[in-house]
Amino acid sequence: MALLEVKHLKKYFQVSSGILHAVDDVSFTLEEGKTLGVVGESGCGKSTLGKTIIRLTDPTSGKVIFDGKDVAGYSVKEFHKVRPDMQMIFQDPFASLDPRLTVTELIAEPMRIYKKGTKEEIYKRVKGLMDMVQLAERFANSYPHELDGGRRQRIGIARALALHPRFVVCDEPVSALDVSIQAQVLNLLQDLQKELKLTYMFITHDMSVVKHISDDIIVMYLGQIVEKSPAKELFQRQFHPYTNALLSAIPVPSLHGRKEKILIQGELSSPINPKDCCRFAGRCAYCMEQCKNSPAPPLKEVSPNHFAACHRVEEMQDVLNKAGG
Amino acid sequence: MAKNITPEMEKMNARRMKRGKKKHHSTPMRDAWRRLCRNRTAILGMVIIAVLVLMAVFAPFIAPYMYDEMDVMNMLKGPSAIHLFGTDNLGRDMFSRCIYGARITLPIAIFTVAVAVLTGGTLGVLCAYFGGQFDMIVMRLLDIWGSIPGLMLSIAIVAALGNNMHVLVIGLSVGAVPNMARTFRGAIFTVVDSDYVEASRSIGAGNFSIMFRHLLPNAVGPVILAIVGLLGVEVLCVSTLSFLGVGVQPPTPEWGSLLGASKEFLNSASYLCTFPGIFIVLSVLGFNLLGDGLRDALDPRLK
Repeated sequence: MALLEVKHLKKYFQVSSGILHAVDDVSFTLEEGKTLGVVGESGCGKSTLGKTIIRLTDPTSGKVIFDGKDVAGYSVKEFHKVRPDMQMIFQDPFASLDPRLTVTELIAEPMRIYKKGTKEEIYKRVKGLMDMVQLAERFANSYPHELDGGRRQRIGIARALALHPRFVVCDEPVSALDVSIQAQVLNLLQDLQKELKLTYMFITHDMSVVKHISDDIIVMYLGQIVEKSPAKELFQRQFHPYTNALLSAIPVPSLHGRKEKILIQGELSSPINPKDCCRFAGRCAYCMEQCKNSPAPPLKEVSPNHFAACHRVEEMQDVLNKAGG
Repeated sequence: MAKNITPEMEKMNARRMKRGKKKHHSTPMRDAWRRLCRNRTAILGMVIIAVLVLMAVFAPFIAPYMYDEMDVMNMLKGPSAIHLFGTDNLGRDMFSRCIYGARITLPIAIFTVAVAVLTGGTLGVLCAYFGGQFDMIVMRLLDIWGSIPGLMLSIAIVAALGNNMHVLVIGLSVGAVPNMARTFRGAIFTVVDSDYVEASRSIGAGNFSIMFRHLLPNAVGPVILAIVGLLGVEVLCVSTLSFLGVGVQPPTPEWGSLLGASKEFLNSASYLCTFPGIFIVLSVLGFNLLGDGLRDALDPRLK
């Protein structure tokens, strides 16, 4: 059985100029121990999706079935009981740690809140956690601003793991770090996953990171899933023009000339009161009359477990995989 | 190469090691404290306040007479060796009365500030944290409340509820609540959208824990500033009320009421109003100097 099943999840925000569709009818399932990569450009709702699943914001509608129970309808009190199972690692380790608490206090906080044992037991576990995320013991009494980004993010990881979660939302956990440290933190996350049998939802805009870490990938555009596929398959062939363009942006180190990049024209259209048609239509190189006038295309299964939401999905297979090389 | 290390170099290294061991982790608060200690005016303010507080605590040991002890042989006598600040119209020693006065004025001011901070501060924090309708309604009510002059409100409350210490403290703090609420609200607003608030929520922290464990400590700068400033203001308010005759009643020696009692003798015995006046000025000056120093110390731009 899937650990996490998200069904028709919607998150709308009321803003002064209308309704902002941050997450619009997103569905997916995630097996225990697997990693789901969520990619898309800034503002496509991928962070909101993560925050809605672990209830940092309340969903507008839809179901979040975690371990067989629909937690989206839970009250604050009920959700408090499942929260230890669902944790989050935040994007910016400079902002997501309270500057007035020491490393020990920061890592002990979740256990203090959930009253996991006596003070001594908690401190013992803090030491164990610091060891687990490879944070030297001498930093126990340091403040976060005295540490570098990689070490701070290790604190964030230790905090997230303190309550023995089963599912962790990693919201761009490495995008604020130096490239050299990114690899260390990614490897740490993968080691921890194997060791603790964690299930990750890995949100990022970095295609090479997502390729490295994911089992499955969903590609989001303006709050909707445009393509959903096992990771390996997605990098071999794409069925949505947007995915195709995203993947072509990965730099390839090569001596033999440059790979041709597909540049997407135009701006991201507004997520406020969007028209009921394909949301990528305005920027799509393969757009037809049909794309602008008929309702948004549903996700279609184009090959086993590989879904894409495009009106021209049958033709795209040939068109894109020639163009993309 | 190792042979070239001279005894001087070894000494230097030892010193460096020692310093390294002693090094504290710097926190924003500790940095601010260090800056405060480097600020001469702030030190002066702290010294003045410390002296006044010690004076209040050890009043029975410092004052040569009881505050209500009458020396009928020496009435309305100017400063002398027996009566340092002279005596009043009943022959009471002004020096002793001023010393004991610190026991009345300072605690009232401090309790007043405490009540104002607890009520106004809590309102401000709640407003900033919950925002929306709640914030709007509470702040508009506080605006109305704040539009009534504080001193008038205090006089009305004391007049209505009778005259004792508790009523005085409540009456005075009522006037300070709206400003406190606004200060706390503004300070919390600057940190309420921080990522670490969301991060705490994700590990299960409740509203109370977020407000008082994360938000308040991070907004402490402007809050401390407002509290110290209010202390100076409240010393003045207590004295004003007593001067007007609605505050502390004679024979209790409150600085303001001493000042009030002396006004009949302004021409004949001007020393009677000079000394209580000096104490009022000194305490207000002390709090204001400390407040100025704190503002500089807490402003990270002046690092």
